Amino acid sequence: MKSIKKVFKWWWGWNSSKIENYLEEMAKKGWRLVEVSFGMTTFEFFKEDEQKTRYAFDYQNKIDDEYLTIIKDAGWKYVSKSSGWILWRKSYIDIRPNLFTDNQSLIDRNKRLIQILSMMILLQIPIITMSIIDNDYFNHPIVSRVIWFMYAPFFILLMFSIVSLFLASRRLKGDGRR
Amino acid sequence: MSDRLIKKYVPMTESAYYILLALKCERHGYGILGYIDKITDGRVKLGAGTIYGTLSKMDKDGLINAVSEHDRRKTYLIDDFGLRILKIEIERLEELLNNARKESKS
Repeated sequence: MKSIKKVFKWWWGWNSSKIENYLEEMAKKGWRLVEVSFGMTTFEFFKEDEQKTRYAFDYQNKIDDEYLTIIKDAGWKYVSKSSGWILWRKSYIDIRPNLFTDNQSLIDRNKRLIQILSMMILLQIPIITMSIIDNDYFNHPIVSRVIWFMYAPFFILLMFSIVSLFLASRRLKGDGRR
Repeated sequence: MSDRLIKKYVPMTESAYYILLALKCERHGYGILGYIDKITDGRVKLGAGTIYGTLSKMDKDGLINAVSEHDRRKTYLIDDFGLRILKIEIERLEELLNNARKESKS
């Protein structure tokens, strides 16, 4: 029987519980996560004993010792990190542990993501201005087309992500009031 | 400035309330977790990510101070502004409780 499995899984930052649950299901079937690559989208598993393991994603602008110590003190084990995202896991027996125990923590995590994505949008302003104003390079029909082909999807992705994060936070706020 | 912050923290979430209460004594993150677990008989279990986030926010807003650091663990203590906000919240909770008691007597 094959004992190594590599899976590509795309996931969105405002819906990380979906990928967390997937990893937990895999552990329950005995697939232990051993390697994460390509910006947290490719997961490599080894077949081992079945285990109850809670996985949790966090996003931090800066990962300092204070942060790492608090999380590790609570029994979480570091798995991987990539561009601000950090993946933790914790084995459990009865009570499923949570890294975050209130909605506000998730709203704050969304806020940090929105900040970084907004900054990425602001960084595009020079390119966009250059392509709009009269300019020999950008008004060249092929060059401008190539730029828009490259930038349009990237731009749409950024905007889509920001809007989705806002909507997710609004849902979380609504939940908190109930 | 402080009115805006009072509005931000009152009414308080259970986690914020217990973290402030825990910081009447100097404690580090994991110490807070254990203290809250103990005084609520295990009912309130705070996630480590939530503790870290709340501590950094309260530190930034001036409700608590980082006092010292041993072994990469910062310890915190509530300050005057934090005590004031905690008092406002306790008065709010007392009002809720007193009104309920009055209602059940009549």
